Amino acid sequence: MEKVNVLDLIPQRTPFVMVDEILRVDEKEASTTFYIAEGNVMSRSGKFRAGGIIENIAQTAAVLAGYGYYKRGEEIPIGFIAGVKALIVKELPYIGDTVTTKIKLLKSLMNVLIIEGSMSNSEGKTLATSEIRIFIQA
Amino acid sequence: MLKNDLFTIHSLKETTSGHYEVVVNLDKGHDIFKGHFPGKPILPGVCQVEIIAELLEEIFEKSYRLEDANMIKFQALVDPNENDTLYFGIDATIEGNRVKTDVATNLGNGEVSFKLKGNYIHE
Repeated sequence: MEKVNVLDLIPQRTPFVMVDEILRVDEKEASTTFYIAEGNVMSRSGKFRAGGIIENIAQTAAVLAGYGYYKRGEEIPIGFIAGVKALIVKELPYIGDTVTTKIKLLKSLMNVLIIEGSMSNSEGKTLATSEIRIFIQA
Repeated sequence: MLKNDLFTIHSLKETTSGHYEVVVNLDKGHDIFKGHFPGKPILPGVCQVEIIAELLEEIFEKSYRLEDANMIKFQALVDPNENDTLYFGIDATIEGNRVKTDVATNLGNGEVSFKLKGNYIHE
């Protein structure tokens, strides 16, 4: 796959970009890495918080959603999290960790994507899993 | 920490046993709104997950993080230029080192913008 800059695929900008590198993206799956930097707005007490974890999984889904628009040379639409189900946060990653997040498309409706995602830390340990529904404002 | 940064607590009352009404003011000039999204400020829904964690800390004087949630719903977009006040209704039941939490947030006009059912765990 050609190297794609994450900012070409998602509409969020600093300080609310919660993914760094794209490991893979196609029509059904995407995976990203994210380095939890000191001063990240979703961190507190040395850890990246659950809200940030949800956002990271959702932005990994935004990479998948944005990829289609990017390939067609269209503007990347903004999207919002509509719902979260079956969220389990076993552990929070620490500032300084690099996490890897994988998502899989379960269902694609009109302007809604339903994905399942999981985040793991640099040792490969699963930190969190969830199903997320994303609304694309196309 | 989002408290006294993204938001400030305007008032916090336990209206009936285990039910808390919290009024929160957002700082609409916060940097988060510059990136989410450029030219179209919208409160990232996930910030409410963390505002609740910090409100539980305020209520119970312990630090909490979200451990699991069966359901979180983001039902209305919060544009801080239109709505900079959020009204949290929080049912919170202590079970060991967890707080079983059932939250609905509205925008002051009765419109529910956010719902969460889940457990926050002491850390």
